[in-house]
Amino acid sequence: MRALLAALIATLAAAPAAADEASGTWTGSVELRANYYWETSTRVVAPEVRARLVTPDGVQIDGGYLIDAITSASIAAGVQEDIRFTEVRNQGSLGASREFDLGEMQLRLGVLGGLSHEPDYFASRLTTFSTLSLNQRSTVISGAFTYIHDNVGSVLRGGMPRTDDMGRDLSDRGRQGQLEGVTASLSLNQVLSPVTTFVAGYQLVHNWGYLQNPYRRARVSGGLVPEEHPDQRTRHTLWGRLAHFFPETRTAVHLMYRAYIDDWDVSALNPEVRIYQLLGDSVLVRLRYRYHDQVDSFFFRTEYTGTEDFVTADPKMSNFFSHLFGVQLRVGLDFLGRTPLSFLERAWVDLSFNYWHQTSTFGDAILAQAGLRAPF
Amino acid sequence: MRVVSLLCLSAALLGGCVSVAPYEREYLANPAMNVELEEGEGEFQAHVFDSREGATGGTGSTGGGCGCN
Repeated sequence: MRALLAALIATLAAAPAAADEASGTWTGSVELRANYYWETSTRVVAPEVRARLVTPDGVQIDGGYLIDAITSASIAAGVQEDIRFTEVRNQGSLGASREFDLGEMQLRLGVLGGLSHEPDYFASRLTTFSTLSLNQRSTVISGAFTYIHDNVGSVLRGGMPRTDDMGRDLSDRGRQGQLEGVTASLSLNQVLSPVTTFVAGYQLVHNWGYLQNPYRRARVSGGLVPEEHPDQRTRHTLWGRLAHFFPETRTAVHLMYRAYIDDWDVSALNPEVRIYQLLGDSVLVRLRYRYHDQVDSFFFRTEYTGTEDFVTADPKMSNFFSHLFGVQLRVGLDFLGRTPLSFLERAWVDLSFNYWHQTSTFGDAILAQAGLRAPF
Repeated sequence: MRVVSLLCLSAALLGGCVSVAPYEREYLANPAMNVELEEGEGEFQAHVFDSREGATGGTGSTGGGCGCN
């Protein structure tokens, strides 16, 4: 470990070359994306922009901005009757990383911060991450640590906006609590052959503080009372992905799996398969199927007697399963090479549609996305 | 270093610490195998899954916002 640290310090001091230092050019990409989510009581429209910039000396800067407009009554928000509202969330993130050449291996170190604001919720997070590449990048070990700090508030919904003489929003009920958490993750990505890769990882999440939803009401002895969840939660996730490419048919198959368990006794399994088929040089079709099956938390009931320590109305705490079917079309824009839009000839667009059948009270949903990614 | 060694050992068990040279990675660079191209769409999907399922993780998603707790 000392040798590694010494090498790291020497590398930082020397600031060796990376990326496109030889040519002195800046590279990167810009991605525009439109996200749409629909279910019986909720619509979400979320446009976003992402950008990546790599400096000539190898520093990578990533930034993103997303607006999330949620319309209509949401079961997640705990609304007990059909009160229509629209809430806007703004989210931004900014990060930087740099790869250092340590001889036979490469080490990337980075930091990423993010803020999310909506009228009743303010979230902040800070992530540090590192990636160690070995065996000519055939083996990649990644680790990350994240701290989150959220302020959970509450506003009156459904009525006309009202302010006092000072311009203060009278619907604002103020802060209800504070949620904090740390996430640690470790993953291993291994190239198994010129056509096969495998990645596996583990993630640990520990949250504490205000872990219930201020709007939801649980049924207790025939009445409705605010949710009361435990004030700590520890969550474990194991996941993996095996990808294989069949050159003869230009087909790729990705098999994915996730196993989850936490100390609220929620456990879940998520197998998923994705099949990719190249058509010509510039068209890629992806089909996917994802299954989710989970066991309810130890305190989930549809009706409480009033003697319980914890009560919930959260559908996410219930026993349910879901099937997700999706299709995506990805088209390269290389045909623009001889047009005035030739600056987009290395870009691609993608369109995806997913139908999600859920047996939870959220009901069936549609998730659709469209994106344009242009490298430069 | 022990952790790195342990992970290397795991990698060795998986693929014999396979080292595939860059010039052999034509197929791995194919868009059908490049999962980095899905990061943009994946992050929003992970946020949706986090807000509708009791499980989380495995996708790099982070918490916060959207009444997801």
